[in-house]
Amino acid sequence: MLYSIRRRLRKRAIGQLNASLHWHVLLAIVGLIVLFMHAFGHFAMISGTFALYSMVALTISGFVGRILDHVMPRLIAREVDKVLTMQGDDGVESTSQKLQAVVVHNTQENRGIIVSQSQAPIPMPGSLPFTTNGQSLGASWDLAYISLEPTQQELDQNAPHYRFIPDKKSALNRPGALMPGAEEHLLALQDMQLAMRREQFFRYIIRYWRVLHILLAFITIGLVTWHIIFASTILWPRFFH
Amino acid sequence: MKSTLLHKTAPQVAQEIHACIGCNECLLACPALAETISIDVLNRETLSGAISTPVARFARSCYQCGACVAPCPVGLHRDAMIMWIKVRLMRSERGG
Ligand code: SF4
Ligand code: SF4
Repeated sequence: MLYSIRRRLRKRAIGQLNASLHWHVLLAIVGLIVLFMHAFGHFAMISGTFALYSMVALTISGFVGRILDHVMPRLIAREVDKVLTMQGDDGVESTSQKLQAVVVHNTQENRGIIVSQSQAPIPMPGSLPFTTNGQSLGASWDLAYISLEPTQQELDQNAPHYRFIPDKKSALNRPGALMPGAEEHLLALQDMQLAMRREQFFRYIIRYWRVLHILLAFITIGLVTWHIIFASTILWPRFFH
Repeated sequence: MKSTLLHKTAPQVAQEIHACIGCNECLLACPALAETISIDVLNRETLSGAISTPVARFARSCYQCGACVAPCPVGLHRDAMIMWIKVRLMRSERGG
C-alpha cells in the first residue's frame, strides 16, 4: 500500500521508490507470516480463510512478478537485438531495402536490362516505400517537433508496406519468383518479424502480470475487510456480555 | 487490446536524448534505480561510448515497466532509451 502511495507522491528523491519497493516485498512476507500465525491452523471461519488464501495468492503473484521483472526485460533485449542493426537502425527497414534491391536487380537482369551503377536501386533514406520514419541522426532538434502522438514508426508497425514479407497470395511466393540472394533476406525478415512478435508478447506479460497483482491486492483488501467486519460481529457481543 | 510500445531505433533514441530537458522526473519515478545517477551522464552514455558501472547496473535492473514515461514533461520514452543501453551491454558482453 505504502509503495503504491509513494509511487503517486510528487515529492521524492532518486532511489526512494526502490527502497519503498524493497519494504513492500518485506512487509508482504511479514504480513503473510503474521496472518498464518493469526489463523493458527484454524480455517473454520470462511471469511478468514478466503482472506488468507487471497493474501497467499497476492504474495505468490508478487514473487512471480519479481522473477518476471528480471527475466522478461532480458528476453525483450534479446529480441530487440535481433531487430536492430549494429548501428541501432531498424533491421526490418534495412533488410527490406536490400531485398527490394536484389529483387529489382534480378528482375531487370532476367529481362536482359543492363543496370548501370547509377540506375541500380540503391536505397536512399526516405525515398523508398519501406522507409519508416525518414529521421536522421544528429538532426537539429527543435522542441516544436516533439509530439505526444505516436511516432511514425509506431504507426507504421502494422502497415502492410512496412514489412516487406510477401503474403501467401503474393506473386513473390511463386517458385522461382525470387532469385538467389533474396531468400536469405526474406528469411532474415521473417526472423525479425517473429522477434518483434515475441518482444510484444513479453511486454504484454510484464503489463498484465502487474494488472493481475493489483487486482489481487484489491480482492485481498476486500476479503480482509469482510473478515474484520464478520469477526467483529461475532466477537463484539462476547466482549460486552 | 491496446498495443504496447515496442523498442525504438538508435536514431529515434538520439532524437529523444536531444529533446531531454534534464528535469529528472523519469529517474524520480523509477522503482529500479537504487543509486543517484546524473541525467547528463545517463544521456551521454546511452547512445555511444563507454558505459559506466552505475549506468550499466541501472540498465540491467530496468524492468521495462514504463513508469518513467508518464511523468516526462516532454513525452519522451526513458524505457526505450534504457532498452538501447541493455542491447549495447548485451552486445559488448558477447564481444560484438
Ligand atoms: S521502464 Fe525502466 S527506467 Fe523506466 S521506470 Fe521502469 S524500471 Fe525505471
Ligand atoms: S523526464 Fe523526460 S525530459 Fe525529464 S529527464 Fe527524463 S527523459 Fe529527460
